[in-house]
Amino acid sequence: MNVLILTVFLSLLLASLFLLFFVRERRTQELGSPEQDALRPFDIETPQDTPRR
Amino acid sequence: MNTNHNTKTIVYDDDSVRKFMIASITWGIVAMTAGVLIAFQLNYWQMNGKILEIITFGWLKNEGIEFLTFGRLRPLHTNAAIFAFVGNMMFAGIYYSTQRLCRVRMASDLLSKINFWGWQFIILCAAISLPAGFTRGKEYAELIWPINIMVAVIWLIFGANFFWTLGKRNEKSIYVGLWFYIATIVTVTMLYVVNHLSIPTSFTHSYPIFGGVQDALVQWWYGHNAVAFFLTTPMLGIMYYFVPKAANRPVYSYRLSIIHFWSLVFIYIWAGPHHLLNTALPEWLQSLGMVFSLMLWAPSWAGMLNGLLTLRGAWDRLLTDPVLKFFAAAVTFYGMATFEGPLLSIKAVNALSHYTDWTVGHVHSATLGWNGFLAAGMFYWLAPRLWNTKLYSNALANAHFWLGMVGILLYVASMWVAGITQGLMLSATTEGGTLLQYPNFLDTLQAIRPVMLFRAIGGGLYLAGFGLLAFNIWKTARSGNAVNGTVEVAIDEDSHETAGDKRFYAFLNPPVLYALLILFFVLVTIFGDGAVFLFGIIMTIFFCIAAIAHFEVSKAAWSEWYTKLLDHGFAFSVLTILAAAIGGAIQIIPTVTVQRADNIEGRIQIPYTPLELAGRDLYVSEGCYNCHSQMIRTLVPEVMRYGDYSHLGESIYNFPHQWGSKRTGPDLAREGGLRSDDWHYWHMLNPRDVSPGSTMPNYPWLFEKETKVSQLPKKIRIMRMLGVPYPIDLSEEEIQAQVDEQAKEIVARLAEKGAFVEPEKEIVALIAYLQKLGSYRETGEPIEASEPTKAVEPTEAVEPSNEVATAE
Repeated sequence: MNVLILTVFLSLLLASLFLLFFVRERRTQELGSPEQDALRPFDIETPQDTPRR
Repeated sequence: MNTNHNTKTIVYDDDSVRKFMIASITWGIVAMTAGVLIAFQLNYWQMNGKILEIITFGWLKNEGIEFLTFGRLRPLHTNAAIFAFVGNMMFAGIYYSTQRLCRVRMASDLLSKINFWGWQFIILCAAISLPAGFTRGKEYAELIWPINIMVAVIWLIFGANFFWTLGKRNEKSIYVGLWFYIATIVTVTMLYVVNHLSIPTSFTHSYPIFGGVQDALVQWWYGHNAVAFFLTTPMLGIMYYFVPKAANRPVYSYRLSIIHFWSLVFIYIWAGPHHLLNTALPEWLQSLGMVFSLMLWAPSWAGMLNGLLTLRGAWDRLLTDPVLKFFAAAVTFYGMATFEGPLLSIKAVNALSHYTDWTVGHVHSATLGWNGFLAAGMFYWLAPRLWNTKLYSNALANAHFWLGMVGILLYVASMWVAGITQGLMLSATTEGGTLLQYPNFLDTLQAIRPVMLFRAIGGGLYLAGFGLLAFNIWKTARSGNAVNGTVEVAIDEDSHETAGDKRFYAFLNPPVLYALLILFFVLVTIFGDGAVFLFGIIMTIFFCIAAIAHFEVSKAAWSEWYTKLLDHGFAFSVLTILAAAIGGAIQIIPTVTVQRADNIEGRIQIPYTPLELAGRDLYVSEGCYNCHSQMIRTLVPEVMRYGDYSHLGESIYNFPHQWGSKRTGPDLAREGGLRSDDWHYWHMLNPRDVSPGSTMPNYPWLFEKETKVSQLPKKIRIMRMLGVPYPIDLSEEEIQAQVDEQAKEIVARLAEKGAFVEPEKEIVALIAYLQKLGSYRETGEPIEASEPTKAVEPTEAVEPSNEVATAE
């Protein structure tokens, strides 16, 4: 029984910590890193026929 | 462009990309064909028109065609390769990637069209004017002043279109490829304008405002950075966009690309003087050029490794994908060329390599290997996308790759062998070191002729491969339909540069301030003596350590600053200009503002007489500087071969300087008085009559065309404006009288030896000029401007112990 309480307690603790850090991370403006820009060339585009002259 | 609530459909202008690509391929073939032709001319002088007589069995009598000499076609080859082939390829790459990286169509279709057609018109003008002998006589800056103005205007139109597009972008952050494009546009503008400052004497002729050492420094600041900012930075931008696209994985390290960009832009500009090592250029400039060239190793290899490692996990595709094959080879050649460049910039290595084929091999490994293969990879990747089809033939693309690769390797290896062999032979002395082992320059030329032939064959193979590309792209285009890329863009009102309040933060922040402080104290070290020098070193070290410590403590803040900077196109461009301008300013401003009279090493050039000046303009117009230098370096074998080393003051009145960069023939700095007038007469008529084995072309038209004396009064007036001490009251009649008198004396001397020519012919002016080369006065002696020199008495300085290419 004690083990169950300990498990629930630790799980809640970890979940709370996770939530806390998540909220903190979301609130900071720093969501990006310079490396993120490296993905810029990978846009998906569709070819469209040029108008006939 | 349709607007749909908060999203917009952007249709990219790919028509311009297609046009630039086709132009690049077309001009590429022209440039390479000219290259192969002049490579063969170096082995077979008959390729200069005489061949027509041979292949028609004498039906077409021809001793040589003036439009086809090496001196005139070599500038056409280099200009076509740089500005027409790579230039158009660069525009294609920039137009394609900028639109996609900014997620916006080019700002103005009209400006794009003016950019394209204007650039092609410029190239057409160059293709006509260069073979016709209209040139400024400065390497890669040969085009005459009206074309220079057109280049500047079209370049600014391109710049305006680019920055306008950047301002309209629907993507907040500026991608690394765009940084390199920004650096290209701002730096090329600066380089081009400064090196092309000239005073016109007619519609087709001008004198540069810099002369002698100043002109040499400005020229190689430009010449070297044409390589840096026209042939390298835009290519790196293209690499950072197209290599990840082709490999389908992001660039290996974006942070590394930040270091790559800023260090490259800052360091490259300082390296120009490495083209003038061991010459009369002041020592401090030579040392700066060498040290900064060595420093270039690091950023260049950072970029090379970043490019190659982007292919991580995709190496297997090299077996099947010709695009990746070309890209991998191109980036590898970038690494090789940027290893070889600093190596050749070490003064001791340069003593051997400079003026030889080694340098020629080096630039071709970069142009053919790095630029050419990158262009090929990009075209093979683009064509199927621009015409919405498949590449016509992978097998042909592979055949192109291997033909090109074998071609480059043959080219580069033969140039190494030729350069090192000739360099060693030219400096070889007999036992005891008192005499030259090969006093006749032609002996060293004959020794390398077989390897020079391999160069021509290598170039031919590369051209053949490029022909396959042209066919492949043409068939690909025929099999599909021209399409424009479209993309849905979410409109974000905050995406534009609205954060004006943060603009100053882009300039005033720790990284920028530390960089400026460190640079300031480096300059104190460079220019200071004694205690100031020591203070400079200590403060430089102090601020370096302080910057590192500050960075370690506040990493996140520094990174945040850079992210913000990438949102501000204007601030980014200003910092780029600053980084690129500093090196040039520090080298050039002291050199051009120094009193020329104080900087002549005890000797001052005797100004040319009017006839000699006309002869000099002919020398420049025929492009003699492409094979003959006028700079005896401060090296013992050179002094033994050509006479006393060239002092700064000896070329002070040369607008433009003619120090040269390659010796296919001997140096001419002290040619005056070394040989008789009639020797030059016969030599120009057929060099082999007096120099058996020479590969120089015949110049029969110099004996038919007349010297343009009527232009001389204006030319002399402008020379006087530039500081040449011609008498202020020199009238047109006096000029004509001086020309007549000197020409008649030369003609009389020629007639005594059985060489007959009229005094008005160009050959007379050219002989007058050649006999003047190397004449100077010691400081303190009075300068009598424009007195017609008699047959120049060889001074003790022009009595070398050599027998350069004399008639045996």
